[in-house]
Amino acid sequence: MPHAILLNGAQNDPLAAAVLQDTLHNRGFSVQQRRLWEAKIAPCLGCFDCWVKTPGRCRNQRDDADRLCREMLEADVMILLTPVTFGGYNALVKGALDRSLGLLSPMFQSVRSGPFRGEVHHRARYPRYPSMLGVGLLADPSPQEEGIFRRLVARNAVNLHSPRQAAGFLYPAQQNAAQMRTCLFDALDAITPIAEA
Amino acid sequence: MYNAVFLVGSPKPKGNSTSESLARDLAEAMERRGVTVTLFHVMQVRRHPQRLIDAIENAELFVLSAPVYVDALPAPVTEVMEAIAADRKGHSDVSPTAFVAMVNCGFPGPEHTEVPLEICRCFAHHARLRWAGGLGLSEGVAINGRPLTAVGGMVYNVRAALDEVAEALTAGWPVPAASAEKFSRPFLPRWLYPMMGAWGWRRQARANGITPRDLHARPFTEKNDSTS
Repeated sequence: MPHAILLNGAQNDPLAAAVLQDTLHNRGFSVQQRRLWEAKIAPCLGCFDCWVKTPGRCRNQRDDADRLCREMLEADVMILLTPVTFGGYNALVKGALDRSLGLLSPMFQSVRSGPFRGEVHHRARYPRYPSMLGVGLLADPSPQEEGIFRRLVARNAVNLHSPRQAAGFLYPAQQNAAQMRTCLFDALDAITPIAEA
Repeated sequence: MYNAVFLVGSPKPKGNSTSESLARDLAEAMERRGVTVTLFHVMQVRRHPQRLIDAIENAELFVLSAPVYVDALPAPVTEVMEAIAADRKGHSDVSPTAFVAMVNCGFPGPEHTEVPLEICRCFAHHARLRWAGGLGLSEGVAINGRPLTAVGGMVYNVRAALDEVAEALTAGWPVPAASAEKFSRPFLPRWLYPMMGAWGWRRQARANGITPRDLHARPFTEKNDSTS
């Protein structure tokens, strides 16, 4: 049974989180949800100790970030649920991701294929990483902000060596649960391995 | 009187970030042209952003200088931007206050700064600020938190570009496209960067007593094995 970690940064949209979790269950996923507004995650200080002093782990292991990193790595899919914030993630989701830098190696490599071919990114530290799904919440459709969000999720997935990635959008002020569920289908198809689809 | 507000978006200690080095160089170029500059650090204002918000309200220009974290802006910068946009939601029109974003990252290639700059442009729209352009710097580790005047000839293009930008902004123009291109020119050939980067990380690790094998540790796997 594939396992998903849901990093929930959408404190004001409980229905969206419930619909997402329910849809994942119906797809055969086990889901572990982390409500990020309840988590203690200090900001990343950019010290790079997770690379050159305590390789693979942040030097601050007193808060929830260390456990979250382990849970990200153990998942088959990592899902970021967030209000689309200027085209990106909100501060809660971003804070969790910032503290995951140690999951990667400091060493560089060139991407060999795909839309990011030729770009330099960090090498993998581990042999496997989760697929990535970004679910963005908006009051109304916004092609510009949705375009930025899609590119951000795709770039994050390349950095994280995710085997699959997708972005989907929900409009909770305009949609009921059934409509939101339908919106998620394409994105979930994209990140679900073919054998389990 | 021309007032400019600068926000250093690096969570690193004061005086120790490439974001601050770039901000100070641009600020000083503007001060030479008679602009009054007030500089804030994101870790000072993230919990209590009202002083920053009030300063922006009374400024002709707001400049953000921030590092790229995970392809976007650091969480504390996002937090402050959320607060600014929420406070300015009631503005009915785009204010005359211009907003310029300067982002820097450690990777080679301008592609790594494009999404963060688009996020900044989107923020300007939500915060009813007049978008006046963005600057993206890659291979920022070449500056490594030093004042640009101490780095030497390698940052000639960066300093020249910032001086041009200061001239344009002071005159009420946006960031010139040619200056943004000059600012973004790489310090090293792209093919050389991975080698130089690896050398730099190994050197830092060695100074901390970390062996090449330890550098590739996998602390979250059961066997805690490591392979290079």
